[in-house]
Amino acid sequence: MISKRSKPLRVSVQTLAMSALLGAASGYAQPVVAATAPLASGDMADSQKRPRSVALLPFKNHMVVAADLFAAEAPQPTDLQLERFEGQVLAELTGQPFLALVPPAEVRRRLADASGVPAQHAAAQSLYRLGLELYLGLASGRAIDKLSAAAKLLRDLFADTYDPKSAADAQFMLGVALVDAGRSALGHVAIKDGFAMQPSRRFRRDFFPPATAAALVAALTDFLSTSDPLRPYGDHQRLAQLSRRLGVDWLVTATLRQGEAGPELWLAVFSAQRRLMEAEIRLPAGGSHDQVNAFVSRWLACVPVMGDAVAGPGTDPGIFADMSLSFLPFLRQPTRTRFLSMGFASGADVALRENLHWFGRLGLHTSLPDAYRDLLRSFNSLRIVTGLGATWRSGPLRLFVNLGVDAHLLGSFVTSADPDCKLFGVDHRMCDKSTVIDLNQNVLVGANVGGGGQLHLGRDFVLALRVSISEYFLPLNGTDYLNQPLGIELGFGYRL
Amino acid sequence: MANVPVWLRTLATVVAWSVSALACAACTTSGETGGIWRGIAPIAGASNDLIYAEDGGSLAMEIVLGEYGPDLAGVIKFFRSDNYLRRRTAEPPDRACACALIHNGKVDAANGRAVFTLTSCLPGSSPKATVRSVVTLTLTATDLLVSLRVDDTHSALHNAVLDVQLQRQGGAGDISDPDLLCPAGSASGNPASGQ
Repeated sequence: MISKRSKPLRVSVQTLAMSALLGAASGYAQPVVAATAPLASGDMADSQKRPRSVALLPFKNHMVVAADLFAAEAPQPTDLQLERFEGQVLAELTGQPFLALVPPAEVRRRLADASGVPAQHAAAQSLYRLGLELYLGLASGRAIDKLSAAAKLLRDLFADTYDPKSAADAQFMLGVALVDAGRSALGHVAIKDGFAMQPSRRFRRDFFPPATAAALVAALTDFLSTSDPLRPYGDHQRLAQLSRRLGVDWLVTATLRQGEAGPELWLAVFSAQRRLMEAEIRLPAGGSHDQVNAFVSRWLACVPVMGDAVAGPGTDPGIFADMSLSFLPFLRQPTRTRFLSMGFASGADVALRENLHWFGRLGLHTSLPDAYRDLLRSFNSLRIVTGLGATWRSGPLRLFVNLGVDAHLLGSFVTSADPDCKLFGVDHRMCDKSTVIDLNQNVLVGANVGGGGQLHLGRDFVLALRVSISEYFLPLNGTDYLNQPLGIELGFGYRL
Repeated sequence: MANVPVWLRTLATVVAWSVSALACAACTTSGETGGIWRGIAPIAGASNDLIYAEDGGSLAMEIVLGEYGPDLAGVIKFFRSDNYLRRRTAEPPDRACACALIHNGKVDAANGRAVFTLTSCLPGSSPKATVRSVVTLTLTATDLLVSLRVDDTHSALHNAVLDVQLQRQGGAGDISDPDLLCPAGSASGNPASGQ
């Protein structure tokens, strides 16, 4: 039985489900849902949805076969076909809602211009040139070392995305050097890896001696028969690294390959979070635009749109819970030298309004000895702070200023400056009792003011830093010795 | 490592921070002279010796020190011969002179020294009368050099000096409550065995 109150929700869910199913079938699931479905109680407003970050990697052309390997390097018809496909997929992804697309040109730029990459790339090129000179100088052993280092560095930089020729050159030259050195098996693997870097590579006819040319043909034949066109940029581990470098959650790869009935486009979507291929398809090159459209829509229909933890200016939903390492020096304390309390603090910020939150903190601290040991024994304390705060957001940073109440239960807190009290104990006849300050089990209550920020690290994790200070005024005669705790908390949090 | 969940790596980082911080805190010590020191007061000649047993033999000395920044507290004890070094229940040299508490102990960290005042009788040379002495402690690489000088102008022992070399028997953390016992002298019985 469905009550009148629950009926609108049920209709909304049904509408959403039907829209998704119908849309998926027709290839337009996501736009229909986003544009027309009413908002159910469990749904997010569009302004709170976080765009799915997707990178479209440069397409790979596997159309060059052994018979075409030694031909002019002029653009081939398959290159033009690849460009057309790339444009088609790019246009299809660009039109999707809640999808932040990194197009192939931006992928190349991000990887090539990343911090440290230009210098490392230049170093790899230097190694390559040195290896080439050593090879031409018949120092094969040293040449192999340099070329191997260059090839590895370029592979680690993902140069096959932004400069595939350089990446492939290092592999090919390494393979040729290995073959010349009589290490044919390793040379075969190196040349094969070169084709993985740049499968569309061709060479000038009669440039290589027959043995090297035969090795190139054998490696290409082997590559085309054994490589996986759905993973043109390597295995899942390498794809996960690539997605991290690009700062995206999904990678779309595509390979143009000769099929039984003509060229085929192999499309795949890799999820960095799940570390698997979420969608794969093989399309005939002469296929319609709708087939690509349907594939993209089907995949997106199965990918949930997550809430925006940090973006979305003007919104501040959710609960941020965190666990922090806490340092708590007291600015006013009875010991002659400063002692530090440290421990753990945890708590949560609950958004009440757009720029207003409630916060609650629980801290457990233990004291460290002061230099003169005036603190006769380490003491534990329990601290509860709660109040309201104003919040602001700027990109991945969330800032806040808090005002609240601080209740601090002290453990066994006893101090004395008399060395005899320290060595023999406060009950000894040598101990001057007038030097002993005992705040054992006192509860200090006061006002707390503080501020801090949370830096979004990825997904829903945040790095949190808080600084606060309290002024205790209760009990009325018990706050003279120990007061003004300066709290510094650093930890990690999660948006619930 | 690549397959370790993010939350687990986060937790490991926090724990590592905590352990490091606590380890640093544990580095704090209560001072270099703090601890238990023992040695034998040397016998040079009957007329020059300051501390010796009733039978003229040497005495064992123990100093238990607590060093707290610029301050020093502790207790000094005397025992017959070196039996004490092997057997803690050895009898004290005198009923009233077995033990004395340190007063006004101050540490001169810059020069590796400490000074305190001792107001008590001295076994052998002044077994019945209280005299005031100034004791200077000098820390060497392995030992503690004790220089006791009688500072009492009314005493016949004024400016008499005793130098004793003590070896460390325990650190500040090894001091237990029995090490600090120093009962007042009593006319009857043997109250100051140190135990």
